Amino acid sequence: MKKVLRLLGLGAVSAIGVAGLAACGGDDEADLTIGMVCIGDPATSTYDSNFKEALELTKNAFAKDGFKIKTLYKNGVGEKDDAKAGAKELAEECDVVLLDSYGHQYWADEVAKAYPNVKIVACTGDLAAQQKLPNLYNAFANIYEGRYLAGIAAGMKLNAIGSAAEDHVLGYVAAWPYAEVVSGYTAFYLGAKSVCADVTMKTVVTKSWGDEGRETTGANKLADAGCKVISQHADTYGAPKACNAKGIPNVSYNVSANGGQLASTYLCSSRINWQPYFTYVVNQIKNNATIDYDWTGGLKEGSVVVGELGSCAAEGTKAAMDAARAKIESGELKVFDCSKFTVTKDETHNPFADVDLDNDGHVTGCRANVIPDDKYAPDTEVVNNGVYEESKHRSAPYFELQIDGITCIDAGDAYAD
Amino acid sequence: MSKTVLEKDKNNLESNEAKAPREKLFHIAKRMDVSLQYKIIVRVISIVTALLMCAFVLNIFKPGKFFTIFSSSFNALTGSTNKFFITLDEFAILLGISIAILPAFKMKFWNLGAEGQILIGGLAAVLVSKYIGPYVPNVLCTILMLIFAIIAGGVWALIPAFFKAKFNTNETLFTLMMNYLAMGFIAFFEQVIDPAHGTIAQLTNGTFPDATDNVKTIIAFVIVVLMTLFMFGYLNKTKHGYELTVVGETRNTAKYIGINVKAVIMRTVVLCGILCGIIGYFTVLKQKSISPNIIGGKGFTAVMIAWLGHMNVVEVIVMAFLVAFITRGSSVAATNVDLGSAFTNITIAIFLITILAFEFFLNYEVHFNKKIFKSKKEVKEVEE
Repeated sequence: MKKVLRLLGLGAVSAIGVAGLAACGGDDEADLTIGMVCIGDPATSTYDSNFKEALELTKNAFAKDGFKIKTLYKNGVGEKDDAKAGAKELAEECDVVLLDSYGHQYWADEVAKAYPNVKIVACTGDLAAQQKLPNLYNAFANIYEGRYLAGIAAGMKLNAIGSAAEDHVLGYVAAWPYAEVVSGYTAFYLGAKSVCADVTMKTVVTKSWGDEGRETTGANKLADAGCKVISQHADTYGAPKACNAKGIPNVSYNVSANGGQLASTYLCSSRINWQPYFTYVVNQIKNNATIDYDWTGGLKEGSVVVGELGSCAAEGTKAAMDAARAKIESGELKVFDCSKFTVTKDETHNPFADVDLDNDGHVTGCRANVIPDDKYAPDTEVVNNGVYEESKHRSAPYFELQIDGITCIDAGDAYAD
Repeated sequence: MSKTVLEKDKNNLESNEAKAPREKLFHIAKRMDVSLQYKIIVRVISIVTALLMCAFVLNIFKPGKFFTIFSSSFNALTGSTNKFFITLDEFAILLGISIAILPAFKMKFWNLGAEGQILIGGLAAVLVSKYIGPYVPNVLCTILMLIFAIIAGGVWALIPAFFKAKFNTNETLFTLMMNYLAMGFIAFFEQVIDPAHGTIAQLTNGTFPDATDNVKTIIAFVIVVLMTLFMFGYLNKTKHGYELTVVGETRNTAKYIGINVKAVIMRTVVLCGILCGIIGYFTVLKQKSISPNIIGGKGFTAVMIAWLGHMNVVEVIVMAFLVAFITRGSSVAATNVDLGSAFTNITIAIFLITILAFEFFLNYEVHFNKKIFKSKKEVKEVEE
């Protein structure tokens, strides 16, 4: 009996060894291997699936031209030290490593230095231009353009709901009070304002990129405060579901709630499409050209996508949005046109902003924190010819002004930072 | 042999007396003496089965990928220099923690607080680097980091040990909760050090930022090897080792032969804390930062490793290597076949639980009731 067992054991061990070594043999050769470090699991996180889909589409598009791309994903990689381990693991296998979350960039420089032949892209990051490594880059999209158009749909809907000022109230569930979010909701508000002059907006902060409970609570708070159309910058279906339960039209982000149970209150959506950027990166590598430290694309490049209108959209919405889209693409319309909004600067409004205002409160000059530092020190003049030039001086957004007409009704003080 | 027969007879007798109509198919008896050969055979079979189970699970998620886990594991070990060092690092940390908790476990003090002791040691090192580092030379800073890490780890371990010794509190719960306290402290200091980002950005003082990760892995590995050698000697060749073993076996015996039980408990657990503090130090040295998840549950995996290694240094080394091997393998496999991050955890759990299940064959033996397999006549002959 013992002998049999021993033989069995030995046999199994050697079988595994042989199988392991045999399976080590090379894969069929790809022209380019791209790895992606995902903060969540694309199967459950809409943020990550948006990245993954774009990369897969890029891969398929190049495959048609006979250029084979192999893609690898490292899922569930946090923004702390595990980001380094994840990026290193992929850098071992890949020619390009994409990091999909902002905080991953704090570890990117070390990996870029350790793997000089691997190109590292910290998507949504803002440090590459300062670090000036030959193989580390940042990219973003002018998502504010998409939000502006979605704002038009919201404004049209408000007009259709009623003509009184209390009907013209928007609500916005904001994940964090950072520039990325502020820039987005300000653009959304300005889009609505372009068709509904007396619109106001209320915001709530959840202090989390994806917390369904907080987003639901936030949306309910906004609804109770009299908001007639609600949008959000957060990664779950919390707000769309809460709106649906109350019959309030919702403008979604990244996720499209058109179709399914939420369709009756789905108004419009916008999202970032990373495919144009990924295509750009692959092309630059194919042509041996340098990749920009900061890359942004907008509606024109296809990097910003506005979803179809839902069934609850007001009449004439499509025409209004198409007209604005054409003007944005041609450069005629600027989203952050300083003549279209006013800013108050006192102890409670924009206390830290380095901004010049004329007598009416229009911005004539503003120094933003473009070069990241611990103190958020204003360093770059961003207003030019009466336009706040968002995402021009670096790819990640830096618009942080609290403009008049938008009030925060819950800064998320109840939640830990 | 005669013993088994006796048991069997007794069993038959009992069943006859009770006139139990149903014969048991088999019965289980405690194994008294196990030969080394038998142990090794069971171990090899259990490890092979565990690996096959992991492969089987992968095959369920991704049909046709049965062998990926093996190829990935070998690839993670030998694929490239950097990959080898990543695996070596995983192994060094796991082995280090397992070794650190060995003395406490041998004393049957169930120290589940390794994670917290490492974290608090690491936190002390981070604070030294952050607040003392700018004023002292790098070498002095790193020495101070190590010293404070050791003190912090030791003190963190002393707290539950003190309460265990003085008031006989439950050390399992106590050490477990100390982990969350340590995590809370780190989360707190993350906010204090960098309120804007809530993370501790890369430290430069005393962490030798220019040295590569591979060099730091070698340093960590050398320290762990020294720790292992020390522990082997400490447990087997010293009076301390003997004392803690006796305290572990029975506390009263220890008391009657003149061992100061309370002192031994505190001394031994503080040693665990000190070793954990050292691990915390070189974790910070390598990651140049700290976060509540920097150890990533290895403190708990190490408990399993120490347990499955029967508190024996040599077995622990083998187990730690296997777990590191399979962890890295499943991590690489998850990327290769595009699986979620939870796959690594699933694999480790299946691997450990399979080996744990095979412990049964080391501790017990199964006797099949021969009556059911043989004819009545033969049974009678045996009885006569």
